Amino acid sequence: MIVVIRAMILYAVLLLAMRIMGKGELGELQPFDLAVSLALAELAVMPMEDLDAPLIHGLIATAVIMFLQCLISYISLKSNSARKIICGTPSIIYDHGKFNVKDMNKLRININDVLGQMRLKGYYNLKDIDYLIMETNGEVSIIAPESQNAKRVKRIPIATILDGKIMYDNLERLNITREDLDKKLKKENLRYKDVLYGFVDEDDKFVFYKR
Amino acid sequence: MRMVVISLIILMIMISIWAWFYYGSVGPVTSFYRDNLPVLSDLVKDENWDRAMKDIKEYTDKWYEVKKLWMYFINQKDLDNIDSSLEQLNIYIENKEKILAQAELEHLIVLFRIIDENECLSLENIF
Repeated sequence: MIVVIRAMILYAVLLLAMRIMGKGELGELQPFDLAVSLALAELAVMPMEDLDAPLIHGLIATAVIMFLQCLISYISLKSNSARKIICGTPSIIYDHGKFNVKDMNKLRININDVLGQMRLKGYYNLKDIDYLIMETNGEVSIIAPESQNAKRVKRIPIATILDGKIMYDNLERLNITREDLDKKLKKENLRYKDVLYGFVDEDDKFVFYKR
Repeated sequence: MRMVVISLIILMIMISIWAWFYYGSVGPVTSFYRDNLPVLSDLVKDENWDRAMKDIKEYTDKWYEVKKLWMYFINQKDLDNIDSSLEQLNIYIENKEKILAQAELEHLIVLFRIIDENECLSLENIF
């Protein structure tokens, strides 16, 4: 009977913790989020199994994990550099006939993994796809024309502003100066802090989405 | 930000409960027993059984009061060990078993010391 009551209490605490930590924990799991979810589950199981251990030990540990996870999520939401450290960045593995072997080695994936992922997404020939991107949550995205006669994707959109912050690395990749970006923003009567997402599309056109 | 604040409040409540428990109960109670049990040991050594009997009854009653709170925070096995040691000590003093009572008193002091050491915030406990 004690186990039943303890399990009920811990279930309620886990439910509350998951709700406070947000839907992100349940949806697109980053490797870090997965580790946190497993740690939480383990913390809940320990006082459930060991009736000698006080329930409060599990509750305090859950509160600590919950707070740290909320804090890390908040920091990664507000800071791009923190987001890069915590979640990593997407890697372009394949780009118009060229493999990015350096990133493949860094991610420890080989050509068989890439081809397998391609087949799982319904593509059998590398010629049919333009981009293959490894997302930060470990999922593979494939960018390909809808049909053989459809227009090929020349280049994926490259972010210039993310959440009000200028992506200087990307400006350098695009050979765009800060002044060029400022001019475009001025033309649209925007300040960079007002922009949630700004990018340069495949036709070198600047696009901005306001907050 | 709201969730960070909520989770911080929950964490602060938990830490405050622990601090209240440690500084308000574990610290004073363990030092009470660690200070008074050697005195009781001297009474046993001098075979002052009437006084020893009175003291051990008082300490046992105090322990059962303290235990009502400690059972929410301390591992049940540690509490059971103290229960068992106190009961044995009562019997030894009742039967005027000097050596056994002295040995059990030392054991009881160690049990209280272990609880104090386990609960305090120290580098040894963290690592």
